[in-house]
Amino acid sequence: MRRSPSADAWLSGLLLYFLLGNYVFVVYVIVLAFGGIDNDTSQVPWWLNAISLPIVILTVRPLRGWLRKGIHSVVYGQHDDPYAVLAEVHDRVDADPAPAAMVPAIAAAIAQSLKLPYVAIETNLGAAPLTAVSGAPVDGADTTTIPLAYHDTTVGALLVSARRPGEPLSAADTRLLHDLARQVGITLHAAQLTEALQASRRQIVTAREEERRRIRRDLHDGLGPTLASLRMQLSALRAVLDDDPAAQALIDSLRDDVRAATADIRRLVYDLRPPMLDEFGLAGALRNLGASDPHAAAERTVDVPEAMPPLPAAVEVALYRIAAEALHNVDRHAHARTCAVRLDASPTALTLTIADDGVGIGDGCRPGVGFVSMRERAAELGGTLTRTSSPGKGTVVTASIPIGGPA
Amino acid sequence: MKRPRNHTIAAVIQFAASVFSVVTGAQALMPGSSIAEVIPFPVLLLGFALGAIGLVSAYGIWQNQRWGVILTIVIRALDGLSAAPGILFAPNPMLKTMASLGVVISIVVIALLLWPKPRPVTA
Repeated sequence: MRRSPSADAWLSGLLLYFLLGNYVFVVYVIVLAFGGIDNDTSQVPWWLNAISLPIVILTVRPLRGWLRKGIHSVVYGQHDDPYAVLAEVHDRVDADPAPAAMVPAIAAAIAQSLKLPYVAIETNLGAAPLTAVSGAPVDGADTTTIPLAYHDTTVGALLVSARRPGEPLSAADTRLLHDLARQVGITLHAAQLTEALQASRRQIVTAREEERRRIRRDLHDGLGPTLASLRMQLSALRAVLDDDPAAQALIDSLRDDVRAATADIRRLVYDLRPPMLDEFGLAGALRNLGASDPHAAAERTVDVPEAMPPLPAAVEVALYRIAAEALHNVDRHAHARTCAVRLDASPTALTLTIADDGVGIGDGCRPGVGFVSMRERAAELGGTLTRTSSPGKGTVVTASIPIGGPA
Repeated sequence: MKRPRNHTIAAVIQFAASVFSVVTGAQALMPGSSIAEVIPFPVLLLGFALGAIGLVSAYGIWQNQRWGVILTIVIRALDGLSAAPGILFAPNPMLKTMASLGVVISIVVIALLLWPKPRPVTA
């Protein structure tokens, strides 16, 4: 059944023929002007009309096509050019590929490219549902729901409102939206996989560090004192057997073995987890790192909160090691006079900033292994690490790690 | 969505042209104005009104609003229509030049607003 033209169709048609009418009139006036017509002319020569007619006939058709495309683009958005819509969606995804930012960007790109008043995308990212909305539904206008799927799996839904009450979306718009939905479904599936992978990585790292903390505690509080006690007993036994040189030599050998085992365990304990974290907590450990060190090249200041919330072991280790690596880089490369370490705690994230006033880093300088390692430590826990620097203006390293969410 | 560059240029030209129309229209409509003796009063009034509405439409383009683009196209088309006869019938060369300029500005602004957006090339 043929639908009556929508208001937008009337608008497009009126604009098109209004502009074409203007064009014909202006061409006629210009031809008359070149023909010398002015206030004193009583009658327009027939040959001027004969010149203007073919000019209009030859040019009006291509102009009509060009005007029609331009007016459709203004009134309907890019619905005549699906590749332009896809390119716009692709550009938005590229601008910020983080899943949580990508979904609202896709909704906004579809709404603006097709001049739709309301577009919403419902999906799940990780365990949490996510609804991204662009615009607001029009009262009385139909809302179309298009499932977003990847193969046989539904990954979300695309909700689109018609432009006006009583005017459903055209067949061309609906076709384009279904084509877009296929691409968006694939993109959302990839985003969900990325989010699941990141969550899994966070869980693994957190579990690893918690286990290391437990093992360190067991070694430090259990095995360590046991070995120390054993050494003392061996010393006492040596004193009792002072008339038996062979036994004393054996006891000395045993004591050396116990001493070596104790040193090995101490090194193992240190490598598992920096001991200062267990003794002083993250804030205290950072203060110790930043305390005036006679070997440090730059004067260090540390600004950390007095009271810190309980933190996962993985977050403490990551921030501590990032701070240690950054300070090491300052001493080795920056030739700085001062270096400031600052830790900011919010309910959702910890932000560590190390800023120096050294020589800075040029644009062409490739990141070293240390910087890559710092970035990996932050990324493992869903955080970010950035470095801003320019030659002669110092360097600022900022690490931000989320806390308080699901592990 | 970011405003296309050609829309930005069109908004600036529309704003400048509208300010000019409002200022010259206001001067021409003053009692005793010499321009009112050579240009018909309805044309002066139309020019002033289109200039005032043109300021609003320029704001609409700047804010990337569809209504701003459509209103500007309509205003510039009407402005071109009202300026075109001046190319033939204006009493002096200066007014003929201004009429020609009015038509050219209208064509340029409409072309800028309807120009197809370049599609980015990806390797």
